[in-house]
Amino acid sequence: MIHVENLHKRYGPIEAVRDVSFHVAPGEILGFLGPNGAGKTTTLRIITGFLPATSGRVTVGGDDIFDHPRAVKERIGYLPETPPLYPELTVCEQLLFAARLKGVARRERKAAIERAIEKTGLTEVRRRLVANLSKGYRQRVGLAQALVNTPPVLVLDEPTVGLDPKQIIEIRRLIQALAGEHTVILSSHILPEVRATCQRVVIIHQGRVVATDTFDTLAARLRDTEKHRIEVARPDATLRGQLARLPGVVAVGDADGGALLVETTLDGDCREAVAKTVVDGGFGLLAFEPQRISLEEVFVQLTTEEPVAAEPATAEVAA
Amino acid sequence: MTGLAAILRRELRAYLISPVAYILCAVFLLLAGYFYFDIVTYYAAQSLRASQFPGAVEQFTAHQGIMVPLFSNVAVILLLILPLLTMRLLAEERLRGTYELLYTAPIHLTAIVLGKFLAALTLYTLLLAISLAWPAYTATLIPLDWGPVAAGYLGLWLMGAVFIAVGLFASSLTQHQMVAALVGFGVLLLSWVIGWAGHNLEGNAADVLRYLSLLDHLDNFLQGVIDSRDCVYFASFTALALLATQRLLDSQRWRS
Repeated sequence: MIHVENLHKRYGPIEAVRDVSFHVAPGEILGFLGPNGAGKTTTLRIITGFLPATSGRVTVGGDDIFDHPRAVKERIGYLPETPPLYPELTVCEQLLFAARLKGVARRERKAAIERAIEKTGLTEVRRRLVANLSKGYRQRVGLAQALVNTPPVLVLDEPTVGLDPKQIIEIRRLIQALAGEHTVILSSHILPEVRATCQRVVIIHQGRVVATDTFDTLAARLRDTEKHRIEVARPDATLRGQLARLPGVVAVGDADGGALLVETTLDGDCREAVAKTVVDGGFGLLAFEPQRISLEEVFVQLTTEEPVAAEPATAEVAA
Repeated sequence: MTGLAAILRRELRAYLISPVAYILCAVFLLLAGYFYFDIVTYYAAQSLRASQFPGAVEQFTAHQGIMVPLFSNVAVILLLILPLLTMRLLAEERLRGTYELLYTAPIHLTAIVLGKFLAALTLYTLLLAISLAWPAYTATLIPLDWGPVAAGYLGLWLMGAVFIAVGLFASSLTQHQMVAALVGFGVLLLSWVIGWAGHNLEGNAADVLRYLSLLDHLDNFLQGVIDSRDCVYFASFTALALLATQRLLDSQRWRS
């Protein structure tokens, strides 16, 4: 649905986006993840036709944004970081304006607005002025505005930023409910948010794509050791020594709750040996569980370590 | 054109909701009303003297004695007021970030520029319509020839279109409304007085400067003469300013 190829954007001497390429399949929710200032907003603005790219190509539904801007813009519902709303309009008027602007036919306008209001849960505030709405409701009006002409693609730039936790959950639910009907690109600098809503993620750092993958394969690729949390009834200093001497064990550390964290290499399963050591030594094995590498860790590695980051930049796009 | 009507309607609504438009209209009517009162009392005094000493004082028609000086004063008030009416048109969108909605909508930049221009022009036309009260009242006092009055109004309307287009251009330069108003006012005042230099010079340069002056072109209309050259001048000045606005908005996307 969306193809971004070798996108570059310069602001004078600053290169905000460098060689960004990724694809989004129809009906997919793609997470666009990166720290603040990574080039997320710039990339999204180029996709939506708000900014021209310095070089590179963006096509949406087969049309190039540069050659056929109107055809592409018709297909995209865009919610910028701050929803572009006029404070002097009521919610209904704002949506009516958006519907007119996007060329929704006169006969269909009312139904389109009703549908957008219903989907985003704005029924109670429809007659209120935008100026008097809370930030959460404004975000929803922005979303309703993006949806009003039922575009196949939704581009949402940090849709939950500045909202309180309850509003965040509501907005995320709303976005998930929109998946399937729409192809969605969602940008965020918050990992759990992307994990909660997106199937696939593009991680961008300093204007470069550092990884494009699903969360599971992303975590697996980065993992060259496995960690196991071992809880014993009678911890003893000798246990650490014994475990550390086992072949395949890289390190023995501390986990939460006085448990041990045993790090082993991926090749050659030494879990059995570890378990045996604990049981035979009479330490009283209570728990033995594999530790999933957390996405926060992936994120920190991807965006802070350039050598690690450089390699997956050219990685293939996951199916 | 897609989006033009939507933008026009929203702009008109924004004008009618905000107190600024009403205050500007009130100030305009108050100032112009004062000038009208002043002009009429002076005209009455002159007419009285002319009837007492025939031949000693020149006798003016109602148009020459009342409407021409009134139109001249109104033109100057418009020079001050219209940039204040147009300053918010694009600057406010930029400040609020709402231009992101307009630029990513499937519409042409021309629709944005024309929609905003026509909104301000509509409001200005309304203002001129209200000001018809003065010639109407004058006509109840003394015979008034409506032909030259109509020509004068056409001149004011065309000149107002220039003011609005230039103000819109100024508004596209910045996100600060005050800057937009000042730039608009500066450009208009310069175009207004540029003919003065023309009157002191001689040769081709003088002709060019005189031709460029807004004031010189308005004069013909005020005298009741509708010259196609003046119409073309105002229309092309307006079109040029609108085109410059559209080009500037486009180029800002590349430079930002």
